[in-house]
Amino acid sequence: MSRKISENEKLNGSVSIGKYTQPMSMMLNVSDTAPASDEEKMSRIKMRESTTYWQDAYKRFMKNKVALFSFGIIVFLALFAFIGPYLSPYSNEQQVRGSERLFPCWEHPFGTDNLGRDLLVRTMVGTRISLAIGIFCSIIVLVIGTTVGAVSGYFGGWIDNLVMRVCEIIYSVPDILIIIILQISLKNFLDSTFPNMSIGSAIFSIFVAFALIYWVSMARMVRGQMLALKEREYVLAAKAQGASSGRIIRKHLLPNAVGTIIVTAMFQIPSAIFTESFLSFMGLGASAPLASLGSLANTALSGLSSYPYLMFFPALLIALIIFSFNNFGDGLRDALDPRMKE
Amino acid sequence: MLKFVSFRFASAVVTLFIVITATFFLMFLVPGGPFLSERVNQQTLDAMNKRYGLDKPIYVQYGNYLKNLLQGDMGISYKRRGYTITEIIFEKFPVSARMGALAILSALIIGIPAGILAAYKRNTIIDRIIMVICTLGIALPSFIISASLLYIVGMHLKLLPTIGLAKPQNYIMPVFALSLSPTCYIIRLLRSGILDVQGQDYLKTARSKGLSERKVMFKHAMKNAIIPVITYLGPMTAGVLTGSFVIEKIFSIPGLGKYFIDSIEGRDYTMIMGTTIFFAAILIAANLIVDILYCVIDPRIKY
Repeated sequence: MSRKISENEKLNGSVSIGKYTQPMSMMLNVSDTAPASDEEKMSRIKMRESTTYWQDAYKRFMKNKVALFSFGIIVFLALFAFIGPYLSPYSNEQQVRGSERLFPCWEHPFGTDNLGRDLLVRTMVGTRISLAIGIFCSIIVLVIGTTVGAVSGYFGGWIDNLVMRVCEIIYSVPDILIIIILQISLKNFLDSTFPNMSIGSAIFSIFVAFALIYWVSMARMVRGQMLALKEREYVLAAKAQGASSGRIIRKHLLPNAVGTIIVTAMFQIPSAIFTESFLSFMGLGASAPLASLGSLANTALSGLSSYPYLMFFPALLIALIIFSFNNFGDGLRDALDPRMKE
Repeated sequence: MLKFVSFRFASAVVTLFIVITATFFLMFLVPGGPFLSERVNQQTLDAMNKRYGLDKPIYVQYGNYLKNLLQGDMGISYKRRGYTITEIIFEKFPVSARMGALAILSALIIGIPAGILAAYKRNTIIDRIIMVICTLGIALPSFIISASLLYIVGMHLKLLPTIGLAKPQNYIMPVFALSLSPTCYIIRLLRSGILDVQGQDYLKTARSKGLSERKVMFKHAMKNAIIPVITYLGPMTAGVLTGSFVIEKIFSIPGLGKYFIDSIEGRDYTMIMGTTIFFAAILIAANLIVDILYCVIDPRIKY
């Protein structure tokens, strides 16, 4: 804005001369106090749309080739996982007699396993399970972490102390061990209490375990943002107008921390997928007949020397998913929250 | 300093206590007793439960467990008869510990020079290559790396033995798979750490005093640049430890990690609990040491 005015002052000769040639003069220049001319008014009108936060971030993101490429891979993987199975002539469970243990060929591009199941469609469904676990876990973490972090950061005092102690304890506990213990006990508990669950007790207990462990980093992040933002003037203004704490958190604080929140949630997806495939590889994750990528790789391990392709394709997809989400997250962080850049 | 150490120590003890309690009660959620699979009549079952104190109410069992644990007794294995958990841990852990120590050492020995190199040659082809390898090394889970190594190097090229830890060359593949991602993290942390301090005034001062580039690097820049690496040592120990679960499974190494997985598959509940507590204790101790180290290296950090 200030640049616009000075240009205008140059046009309006007397102002600039009056101001700059006699800086010490106490005499008021009458033309300074004159009502604005039409020309001056015009200069105040915005010449172009100001870029919003999101447009700015979009522009930054589009410049990042690696992140764009990763986003392309993610879109492709999503199509592969959610549309792919409908285009395949085989189903996840279908056992094609007479074509067991086929090397990748025209009919079965990824080959078949020892029961004659098409590996391509099994990998597609496995990718779907992995993606779903990643996204659901990230949403759970988003909801719990943001709520806890916002409340503890905004109110401070004993709530904050309590939350931070709990976070510290969860943080110093080895997460995989706790997830394994939670997974075993919850799975057995769920199996005996609700015998016919639709999504599978193993996957459900993974959700619970992740939710209990991983909200901590999100809560810390949001709390840090809240501590910085709650001192701003606009919060004071909102308070002065009688806004409730809930309204201030929802309308003023969280929207300003949205970049950090999205980025943190985004990084949760690959880490959840990583942990799930790790658990499945140990035989703890999705159980038969559902097969995630980790459990596919796990079953392939015993026949690795003769049927390496059974390991190759699921492993490739796990690596591809984690790689693309990591790079996409990096790109998002640079775009949405340039200050967080390492 | 003393106050800080004792505070951290107390909170480590509290954390361990919470882990023990949570593990105990979670294991109790698991339906069925340890002796259900033995085809015995109700009388014998009751007698066995009584013999092992499993007929008492849960809080009494919990009290007993804590009491025994303080004396170093974690109970008996349900699957491997005649062995206590402590005996099994002491038999199996040295194998895992040796492998883990080698992995951590090699991560530091390779990671630190490579990180310095990448920082000093930044934006050159060397830096690019190192960073691409690092990105891949972080994205690839260790079990995928070890399975590929096993197939390509072990089974296809037959360069290295694939099973067990009998000879020194047996260690190469498992240690490589275990240390790849920590190495990559160290390189990245150190590189960005050095680049961060590079522009600082005290380095300019050191250079203008006429110090050699080596002295500037190791006496001045490293002190600040190494701090993120120190912080990472705690999570790294955790990563190597949990990574060893699958690596030992893939390479059939008779360590504690493999035994832990086997006991999960065999639902050997006391063993699962004992190992979890043992691993948790190690990791909490590692975090404690890192915290103290951190404070020693950087005296500006006050608690």
